[in-house]
Order: sequence, then structure tokens, then C-alpha cells
Amino acid sequence: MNRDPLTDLLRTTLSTHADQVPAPDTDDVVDGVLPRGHRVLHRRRAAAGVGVGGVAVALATAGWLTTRGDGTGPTPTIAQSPSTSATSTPTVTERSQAPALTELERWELAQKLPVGRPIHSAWRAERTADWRVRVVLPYWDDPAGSSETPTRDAAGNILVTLPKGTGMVTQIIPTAAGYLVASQSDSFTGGDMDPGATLYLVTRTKAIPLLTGIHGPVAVNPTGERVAAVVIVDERARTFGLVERQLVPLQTHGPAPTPQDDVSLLLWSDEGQWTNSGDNWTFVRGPNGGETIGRKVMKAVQVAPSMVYSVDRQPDGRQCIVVQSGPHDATTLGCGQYVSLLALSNAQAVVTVTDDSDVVSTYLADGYSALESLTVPDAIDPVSLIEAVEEIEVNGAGDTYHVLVPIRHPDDPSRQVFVRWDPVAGTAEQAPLPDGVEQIVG
Amino acid sequence: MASTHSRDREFTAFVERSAGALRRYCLLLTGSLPAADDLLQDALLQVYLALPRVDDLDLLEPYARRTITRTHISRWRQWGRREFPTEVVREPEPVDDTTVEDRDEIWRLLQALPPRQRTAIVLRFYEDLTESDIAETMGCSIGTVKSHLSRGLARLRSDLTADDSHSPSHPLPEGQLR
Repeated sequence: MNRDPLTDLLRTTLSTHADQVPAPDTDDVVDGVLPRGHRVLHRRRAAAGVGVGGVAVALATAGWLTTRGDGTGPTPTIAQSPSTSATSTPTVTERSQAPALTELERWELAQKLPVGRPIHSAWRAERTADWRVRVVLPYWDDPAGSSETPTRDAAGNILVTLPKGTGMVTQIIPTAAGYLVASQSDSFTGGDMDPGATLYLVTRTKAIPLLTGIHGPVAVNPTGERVAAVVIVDERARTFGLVERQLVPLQTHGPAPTPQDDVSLLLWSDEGQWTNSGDNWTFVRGPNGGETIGRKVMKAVQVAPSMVYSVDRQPDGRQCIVVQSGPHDATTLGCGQYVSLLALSNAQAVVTVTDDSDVVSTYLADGYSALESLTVPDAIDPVSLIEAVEEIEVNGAGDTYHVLVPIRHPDDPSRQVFVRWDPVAGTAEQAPLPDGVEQIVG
Repeated sequence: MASTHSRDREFTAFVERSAGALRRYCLLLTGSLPAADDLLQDALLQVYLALPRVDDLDLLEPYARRTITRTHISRWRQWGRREFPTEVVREPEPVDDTTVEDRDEIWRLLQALPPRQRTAIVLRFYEDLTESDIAETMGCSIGTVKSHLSRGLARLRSDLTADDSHSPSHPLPEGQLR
């Protein structure tokens, strides 16, 4: 075989240069990575809790889009009152711990589950075979007089493709003007800031960019006509700002935000915008975006008030699940290193608690005062499938009765199986991807 | 869920074991130590976050290499082509019949290659990966790897032979790998 001088030269050159590189100081590397890693983990876990607010808002606003076709416009509704007594005594029953599964065992178990209907949740984001990200929205009546013809799939869902460079979708929220879609950029490879993260207003035919550099969840006001988000003001200086945009009528531009060192948006209730500063103080700004109206409490509320459940951060850093047990009373149901909640409906939520020993317990919070154990079926324990998934990676792709959980192959995260989990019945099944879809990305 | 403390311990052990090799790989991709260290830090953050998903710790270093590769390519796509300063490093004693000038020249030309071509070449001629493994690492098809390698080598060969003032001491045959 002829030896190629060029490839020989390449091998020698590459080895020569590589040999000159000293091994890095382990402490320097670890000290540089671990604080960032801890921040990302914390933010992810916090986001899992904050996401409940989005779900709750979605539940309260889902009616708007279906009522627009008759020209009556949005009909704001507030989430329903609790259906169970708010004064009953909270009970906590911890279910028996299922044996821990390895990643591979979980992957294999997931594939043995019965196959259910394909994923066709109310809304979702998909990556198509040509590597574009599109959002799939439920059937949506044409507003009177509209000449725009949306692209639809066979089931009648509306398909809107996001611009090139979109990596994944982190939030989809229905509003009075269409769906707000928060996305990460394709070039985002980690860390806690994505300057390319973009918020779109997706109408029946197009995606209108509203904000770039969004940071954390976005929140919609109770009438669905305004949106607020935290955006990156200066990436190097790590400053952020809270901005608002009007959706009805649409305003895509607004005043520049005031830079702040750290701020996150929790929710937007009738009381105003709930923001959380870096030191875990919660502020409420008036509905008109004016000055702080006086609430300054050592409490980080991460779910909509209508859900009543809240997550309090203690001075020692632990989080506690709190429910309202009376007009002016709150009761702590349990505390842990991390907690997350997912609202299934106005009266039920899935709660995970990570205790000080990093043992994860998953509960069904039923009503507003009781926290009960989850049913564990005989054959395959779906809870053990679910709970071992890091940070219970639930997203909005389920419905109000099921949670869709992606299970990834340990060696190839791009291979995913979705498990549709009914925490109330304790059953699980596979949820196949629709035809022509490579991945669900939001 | 893995404990944060145990995750930290596993990560620290992994850094002690593998950071040297990964840093060398980062240097070959980026061309400079500061850029290599930036890339290494970002990739190691991804490794840290992925630790609970990796049951077999032997798979961690290949995972890190994939992450480095894709991060490097994504960065370039995000930020565009930039100047790549060449490190001034102490040259070792020659170990073969190529000269320091040859190696300096090919190193300079390597930095000028598009990142995907350079990555494919580093993986092929430094990491000694097969085209299939390169495709897996870069997240593309084998055909694309072949294309990157072929074009990268052709461009290096063309640049070397076109510039007489920097031609290597061993003239290279035209089109041998086309």
C-alpha cells in the first residue's frame, strides 16, 4: 500500500502539537464546571415547578381560541375554585419505593409497554425529517373574514414551521392572539443563557418573533392579551430585564428593559406579575406594570395561586410543598432538596420530592389538601420508569389526564420512546410518534 | 436520580482521568489553548449534566468527545469564522523525517480549514477513528464524513503545492486522495 506523505505529515503534526498540551489542573477544571452545573440543575428543577404555572394558565385560557371563530372574542376565565374542602387535614402517604432501574432497563421496559395511540396532544413541537422544528396546534376555526389558509395535517391540526436555527421548544402557551412559543436556538449547547432563545407568537399561518434572548419561562396575563418575559440585557455582565408585549392588538416592540442582576418570572395573576429575585424574594408588580405593590415575602411561589400548591424555599435551601388549608392558613405537606409539580387538572398534580438523601418520591396531589400515594400496578411499575428520569422531564405534550415522559436510550439520547403515563390509574403505555416525525422537541 | 454529591465525585474522578486527553483534542480542533479550554469547560458541563444517564462510565469519554465535537461545530456556526491564533509552543526533537517547517505549515493550513473538515481530519488522523465512528461522533452520515475528509485533504494538498514558499520538504503527489 502506498503511504501518503500528506497523511503521514498530518499524523505527525497533530501528535506533535497534542503532545505539547499539558494536562489541565483538575481543581481548576472542576471549580469552573461544578458551579455552572449546579446552577443549571437548580434552574431545571425550578423550571419544572414554574412550568406548572404555565399549564395552569393554559387550562384557564384554553377556551379562548375556540371561541374566536364566532367573533365573540376572548372570554377570560379564572381557574376554578377548589372542589374539595380547603380545611381538611393534609395526609401524606409515601408509597413503597420501587427498585431502581438502570437507564438501559428503563429503556427496555418502556419498549415492552403496550402501544397506545400516537401522540396527538393539544399542542406540541416536532422535529421533521429535514431537521426543521414545527409546532402542531389543534384545529382552530378561521376568524371571520380571514383570507389566510393554514397548513394542516391529515388530522386537521395546524402546522407552523419555525425559522431555521430553532433547536427546540420550551413552552407553548395559548393566548387570545394565538400561541406563544418559546424556543431555544439550535446552536445552544448548554449553560444557563441562550442569546438566541426566541419567543414567537404563532398565528394560524406564521410565527412572528416577539423577543429574543428570553431567559426562563414567560407568563401571560389573565386575559391572555399581554405577555411578560425576562430577557438577557447583557450576556457578559449577566444582566437581565423584564419586558412586556401586548398581544391584542399586537405590538412587537417596546421600551428597553431596566437591567437587573437577577430576576425570574414566576407567573402573572390577577394580582400582577410575580417575579423572583436572585435572593429568593418574591415581588408582585401591579397589573399595569407599575411599582411593586407592597408584597415582599420570603416565599417563592412557583405555581399559579389557583392551584393553591406552592413551593417555599427555606433558609437552608430546602424546598417545601405548601397547600392552602384555610382562608389564611397554609400547611406544609413535605420538604425536600428539590420538589417539582405538574398540574394534571385544577384538582390534581403530580409532585416529586427529592429528600436530603436524594431519594425521589413521586406523589399524586389530589384536591387541595391531600397528598396521596400513587397506585403501583402489578406488572410493570410505571412510576419507577418515570421517577428515575432525571428531573422528571415532563413537558406540555400530555393532556390533563396523562403525562408524556420521554425515555432515552443511554447510549444515544436522540433515540426516544414516549411513555404515556396515567398517574391516577397507575397505567402506562407507549405513545408512538406520528408518521413523518423524527423527534418531539418541546 | 443520582445524588448531587455523588455526581460531583464521579465528575471529579472523570476529570482527573480524562481531562488531559480531552484538552489535547480540544486544542487540535480549535488551534489555541484559550479556545481549547473554553471548549473543554463547556463540553464538560454537558458531561456533568449527562452523568446520571450514563450507566457505563467507560462510555463517558466517547460521550465527551462527541460533545466537544458538536459544541465546536455549533460554536462556529453560531459565531462564524474567527481568527485562530497559533500557539507558540516548544517544538520537540524531530521524531521522523518531516521538518518543523513542514509541521508548522500544515498546522497553519489546518487552522484555515472549515471546522467540519478540520474535525474530520483530526478524528481520522489523530484519534484514528474509522469513518463510521467519525460519523457517529460528528452526528452526520458516513458519506458526509468521506466528503469532509476528501475535500479537507484536497484543500491541504492544493494549498501546500500552490505556495512554493511554504512547500514541505517532501512534495506531495497531486490528487492522491481525491
